[in-house]
Amino acid sequence: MQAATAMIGGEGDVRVRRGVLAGKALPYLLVLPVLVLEAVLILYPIVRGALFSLEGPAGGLDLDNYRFMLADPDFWRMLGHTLVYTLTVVVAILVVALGVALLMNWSFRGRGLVRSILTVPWAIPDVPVAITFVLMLDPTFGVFNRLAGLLPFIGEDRQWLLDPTLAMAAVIIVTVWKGFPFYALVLLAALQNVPDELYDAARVDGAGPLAQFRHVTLPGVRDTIALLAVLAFIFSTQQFTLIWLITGGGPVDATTTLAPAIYLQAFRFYNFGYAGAIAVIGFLVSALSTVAFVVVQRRIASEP
Amino acid sequence: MATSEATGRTGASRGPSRRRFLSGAAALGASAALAPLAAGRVRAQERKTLKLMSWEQFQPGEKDGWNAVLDKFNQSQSQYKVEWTGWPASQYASNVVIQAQAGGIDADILMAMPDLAAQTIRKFKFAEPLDPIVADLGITPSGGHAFLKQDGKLYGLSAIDVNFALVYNKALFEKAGVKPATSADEWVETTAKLTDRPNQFGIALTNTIADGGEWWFQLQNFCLPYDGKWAEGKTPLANSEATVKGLELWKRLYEAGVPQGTAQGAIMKLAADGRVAQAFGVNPTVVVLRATNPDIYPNLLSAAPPWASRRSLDRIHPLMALNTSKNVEGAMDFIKFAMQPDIMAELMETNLYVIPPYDLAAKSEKFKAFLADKPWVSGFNEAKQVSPIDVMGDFAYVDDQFGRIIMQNFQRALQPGGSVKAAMDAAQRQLEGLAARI
Repeated sequence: MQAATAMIGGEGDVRVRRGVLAGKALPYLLVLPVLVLEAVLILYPIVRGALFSLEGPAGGLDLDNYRFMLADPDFWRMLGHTLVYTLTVVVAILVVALGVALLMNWSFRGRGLVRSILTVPWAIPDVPVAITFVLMLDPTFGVFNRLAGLLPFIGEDRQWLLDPTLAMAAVIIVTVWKGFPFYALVLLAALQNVPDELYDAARVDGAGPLAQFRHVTLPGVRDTIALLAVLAFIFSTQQFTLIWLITGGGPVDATTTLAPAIYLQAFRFYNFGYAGAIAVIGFLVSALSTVAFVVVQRRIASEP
Repeated sequence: MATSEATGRTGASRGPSRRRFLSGAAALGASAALAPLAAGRVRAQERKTLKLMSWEQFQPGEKDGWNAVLDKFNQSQSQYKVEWTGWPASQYASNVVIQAQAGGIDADILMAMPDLAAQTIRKFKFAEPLDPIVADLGITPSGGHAFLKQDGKLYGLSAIDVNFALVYNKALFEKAGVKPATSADEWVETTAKLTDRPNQFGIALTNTIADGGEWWFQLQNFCLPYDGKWAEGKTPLANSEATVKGLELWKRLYEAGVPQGTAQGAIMKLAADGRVAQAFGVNPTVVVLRATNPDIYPNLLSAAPPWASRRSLDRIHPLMALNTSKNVEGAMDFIKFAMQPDIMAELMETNLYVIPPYDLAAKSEKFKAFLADKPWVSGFNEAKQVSPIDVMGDFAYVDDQFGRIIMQNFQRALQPGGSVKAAMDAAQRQLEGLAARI
């Protein structure tokens, strides 16, 4: 009998232990498919790309691609172009988006229609946007020069995509035009969460529109702006389609940022190792910048 | 046994019953109906599949012609059948090179652009000599095949051949009272006379890095007006006198009558609308212009390149049998089939190819008649064929990278006050760096 009870008790223990184990393992089992998927689709390509960058001509691993890259003036120029493009896009896109969000936050007739129209650039795919802007920026037939001709200090023979400075400006303008609706919509949502009482209190304290903007609006959307800045930085660092289709990285190499450079090295010049090395640097730039943004954001948030 | 034989004989003597007759007829009918199917299945199982790697199956104006060649081969064969594999032209070379670098090309027959063909033969050594086909058919491959030869053996036969010449709009030339130029200086003068910006442009030349592939495709010719080369072996010649003079000629044309900064697609539209007087282009340019605006076709003519040697780049896209294939013999059979005068003449007529791979006009009356009906072909035929490999030296394998360096630096020369010599000196330094890595 005792033996039987012990046996029953033993089976119960096993069941309990199994239940506990199953309970502990269940969350891991549930996330396992996602982890496997991420490992296969994200981690493996990153690791493989990094390994490409370390593959030497004889098949062994070495740092030749990195040595060559660091000594290559073209690489530093491309990195410089990337920073110029990225930082300008981040600032410009957030300024435009915030301005548009403020306008859309006003109450006026037809606001819904205006909001819908403003999202159009974001909804159009990159390729038709690039083709349309290439035609609009054409020095002879483009509408940009027709409009520029109306301004006395610009003249109508601007070689938009042939002049290195103007070409960079052109791709930045297109990137901002294409991307600002997304940022504006997110900022609009953030603006609508700023309590009206704060504006009322500010007005009672005698704050004008600028002071309200500085002391109520901006602090109210600061966290959102920081998050959007991180996103804009990452998206801009990775921008390929618009740059490639509008300028092909030219004129000279004025708009060759890291993304077109990686494409060129890998798929046009077949230098997969070197392309891998540039990609690793691009990944590090994005990752470190993101960390830096987050750290700065936390410091600002913790300030009284 | 005897009984049954007797019974049978007895039965036979009496004649078959109605039921037996019907069942026998049904069995005969069924076996007769199924026999070809069964044989077909056996034949289909026995036929080996040959993979033809190409981009042509994606080309709107050309795939029908090629599909007809494949169909005819498949119908004629009991041993092999050919199927397409590959990618559209823009992704083709990179994908093939990736496979080749990984150890092999997953095909039996390869169609290749010139630089890819050179790599397949010389770098990867994947090509099988095609001399037996040439001997069997008794054909003489065109002069442009030189780059497909190594150690006296021929490793490719042209499937598509495009070469450069001056394509011009006869109506605009007559209106301006000019004739196609025959020298470089005359070319610049003519171009200026034919230009009335923004209504009309003297010449269509691609000039933006965004259209880099097309630009280099044309610009590569400009080492030839003064008999230069881009490289000799591993030595780049970007800043040699002949090359610099050739690029200066390009710059003079650019200033005289090119739609500057205009995208290639827009330039072609201008030309099709009759707003561009001439283009330095390949023979399919005429086909594209005709497709865009059929009315312009009767006005299109061609002239030889306007310099003394008349040399221009000839881009042969050969068919090659891959020695890595398990069916080399089948691959050779297909190439031999495609190169037969009747088959090739029909393909050329369907696809409007005008530069034959060999002395086709002498072997096919049909092709001779087809050419006679194309007055715009004469300039292309007068051009002297030079393969890109002949002017690129060892840089033929890094053609894109070489071109990118040239174009990027050359763009500096196109800026106000820019110097071609200074730009090519800078390009030369970069190319010497590239030479060290190839």
